[in-house]
Amino acid sequence: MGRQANTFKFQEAGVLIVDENAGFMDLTAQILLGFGFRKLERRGLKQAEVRSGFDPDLIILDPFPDVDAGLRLIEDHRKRQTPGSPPAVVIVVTGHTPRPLIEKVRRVGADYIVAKPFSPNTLLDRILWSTSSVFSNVASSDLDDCETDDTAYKSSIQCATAALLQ
Amino acid sequence: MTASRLTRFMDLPGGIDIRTALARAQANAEAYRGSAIELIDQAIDALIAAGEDVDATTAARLAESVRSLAGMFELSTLEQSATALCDMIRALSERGAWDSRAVWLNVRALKIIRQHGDSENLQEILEGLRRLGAKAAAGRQA
Repeated sequence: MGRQANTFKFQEAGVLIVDENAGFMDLTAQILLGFGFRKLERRGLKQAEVRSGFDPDLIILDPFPDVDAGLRLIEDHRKRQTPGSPPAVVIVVTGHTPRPLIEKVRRVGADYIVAKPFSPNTLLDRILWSTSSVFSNVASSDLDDCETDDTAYKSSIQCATAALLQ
Repeated sequence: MTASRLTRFMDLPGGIDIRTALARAQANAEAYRGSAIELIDQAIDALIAAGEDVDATTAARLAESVRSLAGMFELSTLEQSATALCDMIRALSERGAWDSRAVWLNVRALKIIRQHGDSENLQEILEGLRRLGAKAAAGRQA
């Protein structure tokens, strides 16, 4: 599947970013601003579960550390969708992608799963894929002492690692 | 057929192309590098401050923060070290057999690798951490 459009203008598209890691959420927001998105709503998992009033076109969500809450969020969003109308795009971004999780997030309605860390290129690809006519809403000891002597510290880590490995 | 709610934003007057979007996104991300490195340092310092008694949830959250942010800025050695810590925490948690010594060792390694960056040969340390993680996953007590 390749990129489908020559140009895009996302400034009126609403994006909900859900991530317990505020720093990573800010970074994701910066990347999305580069793509032209302007209506960005950032929430933690719990906050996203209880707050409504924002109807996003794109949801970017990391379900960790509360995977059940993350899955519920996606599922609830899908249930609220108006039948027959175009669906919002749900992209799960996460550092931990075991197969059971991938299957679960697909089952509740995520469109894509992107492993953290990701490149802006990868994220834009998924976003543009979702606009394609073939898109089907199915996803594919004391540190201070150590700091003063790094060589000894490195050596001590190697020795300690070796000892633990014995 | 309208594929998704984003489809209506395609090919509008005044839109931008892929190359422009990626260049802007890269520039925005790069401008965030300093903040990201501060956050990485804060997470490592929090792990160090928590000490050997750090609980699995806190350790996992902080290690994952380091891993994902380091990975976004191609801090390869730091990312590998944080990945080793994440894997170990996950393996120990899944086994219900917490090993505070092994986790603490990995945390200290993370700190030293952050101080040295990718410029030094830290492969021996990384290899040791990987073997330690494999041992934790295999269920052998350290």
